[in-house]
Amino acid sequence: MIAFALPPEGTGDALKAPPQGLQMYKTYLSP
Amino acid sequence: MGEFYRGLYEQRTDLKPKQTTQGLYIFSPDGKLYRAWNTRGGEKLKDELRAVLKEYKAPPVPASLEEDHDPSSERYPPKGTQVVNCFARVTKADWPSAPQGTQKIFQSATGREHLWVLKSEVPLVARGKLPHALVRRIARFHLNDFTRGEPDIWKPEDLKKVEMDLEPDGSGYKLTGEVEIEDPSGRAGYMAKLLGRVEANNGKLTKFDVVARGTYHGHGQFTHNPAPEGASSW
Repeated sequence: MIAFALPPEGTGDALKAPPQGLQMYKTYLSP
Repeated sequence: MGEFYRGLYEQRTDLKPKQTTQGLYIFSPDGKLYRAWNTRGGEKLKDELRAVLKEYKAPPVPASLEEDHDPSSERYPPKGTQVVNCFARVTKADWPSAPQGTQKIFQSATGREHLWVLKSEVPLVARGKLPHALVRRIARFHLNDFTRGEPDIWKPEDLKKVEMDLEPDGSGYKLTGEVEIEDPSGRAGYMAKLLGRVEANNGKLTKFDVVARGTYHGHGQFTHNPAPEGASSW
């Protein structure tokens, strides 16, 4: 699985942002 | 900064000709090298730092560090670029060895990358258009196994099928896509479907949540470590 997500606005360092896309995987793509 | 770094690695006595200078360096701001090595392990790093601290004498910081920029060594995105985080996980695989030590970390690792959506592309995506170059960039540089190090980047001819589309969905767009990527040599390949949601406000992207799921096989020069056997789920 490869997830893409914009970091939340104002967090600055992209590495510190939570992986929103991982939650989306659970929402949209789980069997 | 390039000259500064060359000054550091030229002090190394362990490097053979043409060997990579990649590694961990402990040095002072005036360019004196204390230690350098190229292996993993937090304990060694801590031990070396403790050892250096015993003999370290802080020199005055030379002003040239701030003034002498080497543009070729800078890694900042062009102004106006929006940077999207990328995360990769192997979700199911047959590993050739039982997980222990570093391998255990690799087998459950989350790879991290960054996709650049360039200034000229941002307003297009905000209006529901996916530029061809952006689609190809996503496929070649980000739909890859980067969980165990640096993967070999897909070549243009490896992209057998790359389809990504945006369609209006409420206040944003739904992204759907499908890729078939295969190195002609059979070295590695990735087949996946993509689903996501994109939103924008005032011409800027406010959401770019996309997930690719599929099967991957093979490995690159630096990602064997070892790689899963056969096809793995992604």
